[in-house]
Amino acid sequence: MPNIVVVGAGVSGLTTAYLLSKDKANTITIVAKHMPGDYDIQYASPWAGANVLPMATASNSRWERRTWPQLKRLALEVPEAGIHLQKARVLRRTKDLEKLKTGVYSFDGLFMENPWYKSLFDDFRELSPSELPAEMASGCEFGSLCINTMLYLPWLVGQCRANGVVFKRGVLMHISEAASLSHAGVKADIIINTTGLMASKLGGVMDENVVPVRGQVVVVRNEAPYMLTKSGTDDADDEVCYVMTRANGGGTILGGTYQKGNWESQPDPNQALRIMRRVVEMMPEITNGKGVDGFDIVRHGVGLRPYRNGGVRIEKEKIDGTWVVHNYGHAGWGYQGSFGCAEGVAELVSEILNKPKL
Amino acid sequence: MSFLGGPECSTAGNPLSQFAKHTQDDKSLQRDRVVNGGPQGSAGGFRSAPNHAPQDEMMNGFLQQNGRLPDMPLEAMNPQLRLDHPAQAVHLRANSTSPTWANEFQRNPQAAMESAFKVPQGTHFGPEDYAKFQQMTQVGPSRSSPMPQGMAYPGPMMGTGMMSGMGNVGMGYGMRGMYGSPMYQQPQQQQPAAAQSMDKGKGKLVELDDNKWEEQFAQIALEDQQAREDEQNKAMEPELNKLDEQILQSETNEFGDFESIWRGIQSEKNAATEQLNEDEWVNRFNDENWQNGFGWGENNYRITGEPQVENYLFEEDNLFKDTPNPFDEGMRIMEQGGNLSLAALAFEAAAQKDPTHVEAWVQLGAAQAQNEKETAAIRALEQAKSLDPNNPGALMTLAVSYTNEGYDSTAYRTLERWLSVKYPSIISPADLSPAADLGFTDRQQLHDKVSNLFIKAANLSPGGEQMDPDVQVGLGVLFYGAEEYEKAVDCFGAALQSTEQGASNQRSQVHLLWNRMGATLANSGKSEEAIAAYERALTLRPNFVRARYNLGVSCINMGCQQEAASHLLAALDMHKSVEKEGRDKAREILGDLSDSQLDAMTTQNCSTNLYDTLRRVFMQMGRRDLADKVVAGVDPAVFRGDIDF
Repeated sequence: MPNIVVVGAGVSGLTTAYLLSKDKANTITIVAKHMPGDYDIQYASPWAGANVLPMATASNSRWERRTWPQLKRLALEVPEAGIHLQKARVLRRTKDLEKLKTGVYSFDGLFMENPWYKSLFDDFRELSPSELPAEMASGCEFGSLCINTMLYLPWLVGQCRANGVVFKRGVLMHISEAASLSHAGVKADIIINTTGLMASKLGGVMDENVVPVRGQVVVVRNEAPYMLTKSGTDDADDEVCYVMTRANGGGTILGGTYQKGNWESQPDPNQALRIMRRVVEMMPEITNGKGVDGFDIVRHGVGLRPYRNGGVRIEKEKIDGTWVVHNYGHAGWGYQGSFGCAEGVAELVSEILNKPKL
Repeated sequence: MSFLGGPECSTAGNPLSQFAKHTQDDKSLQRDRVVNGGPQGSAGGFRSAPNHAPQDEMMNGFLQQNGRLPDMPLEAMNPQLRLDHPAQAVHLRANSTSPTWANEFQRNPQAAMESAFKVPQGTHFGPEDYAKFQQMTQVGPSRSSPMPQGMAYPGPMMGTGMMSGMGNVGMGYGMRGMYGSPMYQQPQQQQPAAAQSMDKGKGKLVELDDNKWEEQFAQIALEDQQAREDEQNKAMEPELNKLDEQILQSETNEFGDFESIWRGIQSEKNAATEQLNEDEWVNRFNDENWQNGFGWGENNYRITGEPQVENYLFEEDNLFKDTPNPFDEGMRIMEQGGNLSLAALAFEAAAQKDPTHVEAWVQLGAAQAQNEKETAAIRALEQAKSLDPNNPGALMTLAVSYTNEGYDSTAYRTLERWLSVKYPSIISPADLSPAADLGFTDRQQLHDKVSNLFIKAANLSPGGEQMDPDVQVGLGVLFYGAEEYEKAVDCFGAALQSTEQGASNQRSQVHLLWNRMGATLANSGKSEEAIAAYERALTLRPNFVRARYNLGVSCINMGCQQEAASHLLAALDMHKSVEKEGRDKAREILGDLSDSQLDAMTTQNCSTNLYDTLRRVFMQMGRRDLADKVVAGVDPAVFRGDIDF
């Protein structure tokens, strides 16, 4: 009976545990500093939108490609998961076209003309010129979805519980400590490292390639008729613009910022105002023409996307005599890559467990 | 607009009205940053963004609900906030908005000055600031350092506006945040009190007689040692009690095998602790596991260091129970390459007839290992070892099994013992490594020690007919355990060579060597060569279940899931066929019995490994339906429609 300990209870850890728990032979324990319900700057998942706006390049599209069908099925068939279908519009500014070609942003894949992900959505279409605002060179529309993170994360916990996963709060100094934290009381066979941003600080991992990408948002009660984003803003290179309405009364997320290397946990009032102004400019109907004053604010928030230079790390490694499978560094695509990455982990787990006998 | 928070009647028309509510809640980053006592002890980039502390000060100041900002005119914060471009924020702050901000700053430069670190005016975050910060945010006691809280809050200390953007804010005002490393260190709480009891009881002045001083000295040393031991014994008590509790708790979990408790080992442990000599004590105290309490330190082996082995479970209604000489039957079946489950039954009967028959246990263990029933094998071999601690066959086979199961240090110690039996000149049985929970580095050392001994033994007969294949096998197992697969391949190759030329009783082991060779090749990624080696083994012994299992695993690694499933099912079928035969016999003897009744009789020891791997293969094939059918004892025939085997 393989004994697995998952470190971290963000969307990556929960989805990985969920997938592994489908094999009844696996004994799984999740150990984490933060759990769904917590709001903390070290715990990125609750702060995310979240939605599906594929941002990988074609060559790295495996994770998002494999996740989309799973999330879509949940949206259609499992209302309690807190996901609903939403149309998405992606606008490409004329002034950004050159930059996009040189690959300045890490979410470039999203704004590519003729993107790889158009095959994922059967209603994908380019917008006609009449549908485009003045500064836009082009844009596309497709049927996507929006996830209410505060419902989805607990739903994942529930699914894990139904499969016998045990949850424990814990803080580790070194990844190898997880080996002795299995609820079964025996040494774990495999440790899954889904510590996100904290992978940069965790003993035994200490990944210097992991840096935060600060995202400030405003959560409002107003509703957006569809999800909208554009390739850049005039305010700053690291300020972006997007809006999405979460399922089941989760509020509407106005974003945002994309500040690489910024650890600041507190919202900046100036940025908040700029975010609101930008969204209202891009989508005036959201406040029925009342401008920024028409926003009914629930709260402001800041999340630190766990970005990794070199891309996500999904690989196995033996640390201090115990197998560790890493799954961290998802930047801003954690939810939309969650199932695909979990599958990658499951493959590595199988590789480890399927060992020949002397 | 009020930045002082408080209940808002209407948030409409008030873009930043909810600001206070949010930002007062989550101060975790600042808390961590300031206190620096969190698990991430090192001064890392996480907390090094120096510009932000002053801003937090400001933010906190302005958001404080208790209105401790009398000097802050509300008009300064009006709804028509200028939406400044982030890069210009500083400039604007310096010159515009509220002049009172700047005044505040001028009025209170002394806080900026009082700092242990020489930093430019207004840039630091000194003890007074922390005190203020604490006061303002009412940080919980567990996080606070004992800092003096003398200063009343006089207003914002740093001049820059809280409205400014994140990146450059400090710059314009000459604030160059300098402190990369945090100033407040929480005392490390890990250093155990236990370490103090290591104190050698100094400070005892004694008069020494000129003549008898040696005697006296020895006497004193002895007394010291006794006192120390007693002290250490007492210190150990709670740890041991905790250990006992933990063991008792895990008794109730559903997993059998190593997770369950062998009471014999427990009482043995209690007896052993009383006799531990000083060196053992020192070792234990230095071992982090003991010092830091359960759960701390590297690789806690407190529960899992030595495998907890249960008694062997015999099949009920053994075909061979009335056979006059089941041991010979078993040997015959093995030599003829017959069904391993059948051979195991024969040896079980022999062991049941005469539980002191060491060789019966040894052969039973060997048969079950080849039958891919590792747990049963280990139980049988441990039984043999308890009857004869120096039985070479038991020791070698046990070492292999422990290596397979990941009990590395136990495997190494077992090999060491094997060597001391056959080559006492290289290592005497008196010099064997003691049984102890080993951390990762200690395991390495043990491994290297035992490997060197084996190399010495190998050098006694460097080649040709004199080479001892068992030494080569032992060395190969050691290299395998350390993942030095190339060297392991060499060793098994050498063993193969000398065995094939050797005596007939050695030749009966060749298939084992081919399997070991294959496993080593497979681990070094050479799947095709591994498969060739397994096929050699299977040609010699078609009923070699373990080799067939290994073949299945190699197929999985090469992506041939279907073929893998076929091999695994064939292996399970070999188990089942004997069970079926046994079933017929049982029906003859006991009369008509239902299949489920018979199932209960013939599935005492099943190969969880085979079932788990098969299930994983089906999952990877996307056949959840088939995976769900894989339960312990399932008849492989159930899958014939989907898989050919």
